[in-house]
Amino acid sequence: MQPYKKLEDVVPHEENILILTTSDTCFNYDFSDIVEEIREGIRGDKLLIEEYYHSLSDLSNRDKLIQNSVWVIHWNECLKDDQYPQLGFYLETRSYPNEAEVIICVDGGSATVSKVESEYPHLTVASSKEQLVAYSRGHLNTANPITKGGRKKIKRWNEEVCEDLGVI
Amino acid sequence: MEIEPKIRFAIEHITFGYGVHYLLQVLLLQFASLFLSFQFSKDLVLEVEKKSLFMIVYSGASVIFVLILLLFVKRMSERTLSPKLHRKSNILVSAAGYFLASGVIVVFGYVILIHATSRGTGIGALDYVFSVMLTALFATLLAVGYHARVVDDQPDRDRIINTISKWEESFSWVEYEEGTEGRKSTREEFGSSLEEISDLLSMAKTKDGRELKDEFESWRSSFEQHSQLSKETIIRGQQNKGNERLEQEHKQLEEIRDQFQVIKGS
Repeated sequence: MQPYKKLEDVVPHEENILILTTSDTCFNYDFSDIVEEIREGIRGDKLLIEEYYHSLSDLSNRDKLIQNSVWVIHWNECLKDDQYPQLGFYLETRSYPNEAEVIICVDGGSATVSKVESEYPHLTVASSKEQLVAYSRGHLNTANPITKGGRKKIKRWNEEVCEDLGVI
Repeated sequence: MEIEPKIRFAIEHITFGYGVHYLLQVLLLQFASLFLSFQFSKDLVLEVEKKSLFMIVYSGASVIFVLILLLFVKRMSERTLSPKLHRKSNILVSAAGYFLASGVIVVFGYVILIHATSRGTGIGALDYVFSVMLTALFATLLAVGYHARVVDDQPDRDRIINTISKWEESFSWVEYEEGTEGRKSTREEFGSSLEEISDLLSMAKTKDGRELKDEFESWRSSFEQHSQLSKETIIRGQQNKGNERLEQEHKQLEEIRDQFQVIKGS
C-alpha cells in the first residue's frame, strides 16, 4: 500500500472487501454475486470495489488483511467452532484498522444471531444477504471519494494502515 | 481471422510494417532493367565456353546471397515487436516471400527474353542456375533495402531485451514483505518499467505489434486503477476460486508476458 500525500490523491480509489470463507458462498449466494450487488449500490464513479479472498491457512499474514477496509467473515465456517483461533484473536484484540468495517455473517436462526451479537458487541452482524449488502454499502458510501468527508475518511484509513505496515 | 488481415500479415513477412511502397519501387525498377536488357539483348549475349566454371560461380554466389538474405531477414525479425514474426518458421516464410517477389521478375524475364524469342530451345542447366542466382540477388537486394528502414527507426535488439528483462525482474516486488526497502525500490522499478514498455511498444510498426501495444495499454490502464492488494493478486494469480475479474486481468497479463518472451527470444 502507498500513502496518499494529499487529499486529491485519493481520487480515484479502490477499496478491497476481505472475504473469509471456505465455501465462497453465503446465505446461498456466491460471494462474487453479493459483491456485485454491493458494487451496484456505490454512488458515483470514483470508488472501485474488488473482493479479496484471503487463504484461511495464511491468517498470520496480517499485513494483507489490514489492507481491506471491509472484512466479511462467514461465522459458521470460520468462527463457530473456533476453527481459526488466529482470526478469533484478531477480533478479540481489535487487530484491524479502526476505520475498517468488520461484518460477521451468520447463517442461522435468530437465537444464533443474538448469541453472535453478544459475543462480538463491537462488530456488525448480518443475518441475511440484504443486511450484508446494506451494511457494506453503508460503510463504502461513507468512505466514498465523491465527497470531501469521504476523501478525508479514506485518507485517515490509508494513514492508519500505512503506519501499521511501516511504509510511512 | 478475416481474409484482409491474413493478406496484410502475409505481406508483413516482407515489409515488416513499412508498407509495400518500397517493394513496389524495387520491383518496378527491376522490370525497367528487364525491359532495357530486352532492348539491348542481342548486343549483350555472351557465349560461355567454360560452363562448369560458371555453374560453380553461379551456385556459390546463390548460396552466399541466400545466406545474406537469411541473415538480414533474421535481423529484421529480431527488431520487430511482432511476436509472430519472431518465430523461426516465420523467418523462413519471410525469406521465401522475398524469393517469391523476386522470382516474379525472373519468370517474367524468362517468358519475355527467352521463351518468346527462342521457344525455350537451347536453355540448359546453366541458365536455370543463373536464374536462381538472379532471384537470390534480387531477393537479397530487397531485404537489404527493408533492413535499412527497420534499422533506421526500430529499437535495437539490446534495448528490446533489456526493457523486457527489466520489466520481468521488477515483478519480484510482490515477493518482498510490506514496509521493506526492497519492496519499495522494486515497486518503483516496476512502475518505471511499465512506462518503458509503453515507449517500446509505441514504436511498433507491424499489425501484430500494434495489437500487442493495444492489448498492453488496455491492461495497464485497468491495472493502474487498482489498489496495491489487487495489483498483487493480478500479478500472482489465485490458486482457488477467487475474484474472477482480477483473475481475468491476471490471464491477460500472462498472455502479454508470453508474447514478450517470444519477442525476447528465451
